[in-house]
Amino acid sequence: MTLDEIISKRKLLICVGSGGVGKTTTSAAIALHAALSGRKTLVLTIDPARRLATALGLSQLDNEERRVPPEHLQKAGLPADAELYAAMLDTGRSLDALLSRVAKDEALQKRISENNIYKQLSHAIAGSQEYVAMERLYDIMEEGRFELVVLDTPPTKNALDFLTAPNRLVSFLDETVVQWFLKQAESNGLGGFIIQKSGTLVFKLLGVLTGGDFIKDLIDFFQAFKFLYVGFRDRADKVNKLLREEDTVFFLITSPEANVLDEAAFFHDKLLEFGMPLKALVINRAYQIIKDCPLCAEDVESLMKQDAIKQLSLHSGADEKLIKSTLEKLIGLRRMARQFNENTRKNIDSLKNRLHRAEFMACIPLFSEEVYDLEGLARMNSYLFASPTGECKAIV
Amino acid sequence: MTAGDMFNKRLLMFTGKGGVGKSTIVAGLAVLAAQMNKRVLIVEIDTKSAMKQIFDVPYLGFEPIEIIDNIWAINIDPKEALEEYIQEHARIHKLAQLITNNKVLRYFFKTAPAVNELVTINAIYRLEQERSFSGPRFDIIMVDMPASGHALLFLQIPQMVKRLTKRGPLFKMVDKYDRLFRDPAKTMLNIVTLPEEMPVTETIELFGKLQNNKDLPLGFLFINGVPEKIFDDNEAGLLKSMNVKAENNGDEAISELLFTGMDNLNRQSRFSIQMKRLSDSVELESIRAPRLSLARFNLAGARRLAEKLKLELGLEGA
Repeated sequence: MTLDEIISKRKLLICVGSGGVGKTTTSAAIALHAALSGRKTLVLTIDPARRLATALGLSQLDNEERRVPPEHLQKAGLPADAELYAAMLDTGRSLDALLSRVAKDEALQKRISENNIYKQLSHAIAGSQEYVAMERLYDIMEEGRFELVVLDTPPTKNALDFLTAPNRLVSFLDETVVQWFLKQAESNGLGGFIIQKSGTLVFKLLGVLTGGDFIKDLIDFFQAFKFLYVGFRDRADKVNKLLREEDTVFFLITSPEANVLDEAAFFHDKLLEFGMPLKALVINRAYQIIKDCPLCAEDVESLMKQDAIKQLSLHSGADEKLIKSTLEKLIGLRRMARQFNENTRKNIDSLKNRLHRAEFMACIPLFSEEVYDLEGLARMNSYLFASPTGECKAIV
Repeated sequence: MTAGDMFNKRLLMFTGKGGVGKSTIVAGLAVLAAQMNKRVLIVEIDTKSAMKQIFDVPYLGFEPIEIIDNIWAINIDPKEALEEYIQEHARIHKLAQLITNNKVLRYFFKTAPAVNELVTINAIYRLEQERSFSGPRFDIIMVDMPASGHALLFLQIPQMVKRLTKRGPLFKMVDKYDRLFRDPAKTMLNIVTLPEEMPVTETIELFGKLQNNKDLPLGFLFINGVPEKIFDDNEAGLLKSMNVKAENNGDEAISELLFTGMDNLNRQSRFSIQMKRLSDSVELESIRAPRLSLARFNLAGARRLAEKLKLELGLEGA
């Protein structure tokens, strides 16, 4: 199966992987490819990747889906009618927007938003931000305005947190827990009667440990939130389902360093454990491009005797010593590049033996310039979509 | 600030964008400090342990293990930290068990936000407090922190809990953590980065946010993966002029010969641009660490890195 075939039937493509492996750029490149194949595509990033915005000819990346301007595509020699959009999932937004939607009753909304616990949680806790981001993804998918959405996720461990955020928030607001606290609060109100019951004792102990206000706030928070639990659980279930649908596919992005590949293997196992469909492995900076170079086979002494070299260096006014040291270093660099490629080859092979479930593997070389424009993304794609078999392209 | 100051602190924390090599810097510094007769504890937080790989030990858990002479390591699992926390703070053991045995509460603690961070901080605080009869059990505790955004959150947890509780034993306790984090005599927060576009952008943003949190004591900026400069200026000049001429003459054989060299010069200039961005916006003393080979970073690698860091930190005479 080719990478095109894997992507063509999907509506949601999620790129996961460690930090610093080029997830954002890869996501954008894949989205560009899909848009160029005639699908209305949105790339959603998590990081405020300013360079990506510039590459796409956008003044900024934010919550709003912005279309890559036709002139910008044209300038890069690409068809102007490609429908490529980009937006950033703003994880900085608080739970407030969500709350106002779920809590229809204004008095209830006010009660929750003024609760001390809510105030601290909505701004300070990573989980709630990730939850909001997943909510937004769900909404975008529901609206169905795009044929394909490519989602870039935060690095390794956080990416898993990110994907499981809906579950965790719902777990925290679990009915059993909420009921327990509310029940304890009630029976405590009755006075010292039931003090022998262990639940009450535990409850009091908690109060002593945390200071009285905290428990009071928590009870108040739970009391207000119990009306909303069903709504939250419902949404979380839907997001969970979305991540495991037929139309959804996961790509694991990595680079070839041994330690990073270890993390990729960890990721691979986790995705399988969570039942998320991993279909392709993309290895960025997998090898250095080494050009065929008949001249390079010669030793420095005989190179220096070549007319072409003499001619060229003559004009630059360089002395023999300088020419010699430069040529020696040039030859040395090629040796180093070959060594680099041999090492990555070994690392990638050993990863291959550990991962069986990624159906497709693509290798992208190390570029001498960072990818900063549409041409750069297209250049990545010429490698990414080059191999029909899903083997890493032969590394020279 | 001198580098010597760094090894006189009790708590050295390291954060930065994911993938910049925080763990390798921590390992290198730990080896260096150990060579200077410091007893070092490396703390990892609820993660797939990097130290286990680097120092080739079969297991790292909640109890410090001496992995090589003078270096201990621990990987804090929040579940164990939570048990420890409860037992430590409910003075009467029976009562502690009441809480840990309560099914609903177990579940609540497992899922409640900020609990993991709080009990992890408690564990770090306890390690800092540990004394043997000759003094502190560890001279330096090096914490391999989560990536930038989460590290900030982590450092703000004590203040958040203070706002939540307002008074009582929990308040008093987190106040102690908070004061440790903000004590410039004991604590130093360091940033690790790579000289590449995205990590530099994130570093500049992180530095800005940390400046808003003025009382967190900042230390050094570690720039990892600094490429080796291959061509000196004369050689680079020659390469460039040869390349222009070869292109003008359409001499492919020569262009091929120069390709890897030009590729290297491009990379070098990219590096200079990022270094300039860092020095323009991040007012921290920077320490450079060389780019390491692709082979697995292990103890030998950590020793090599320690040598380089020693030079960079100006500790040769020490």
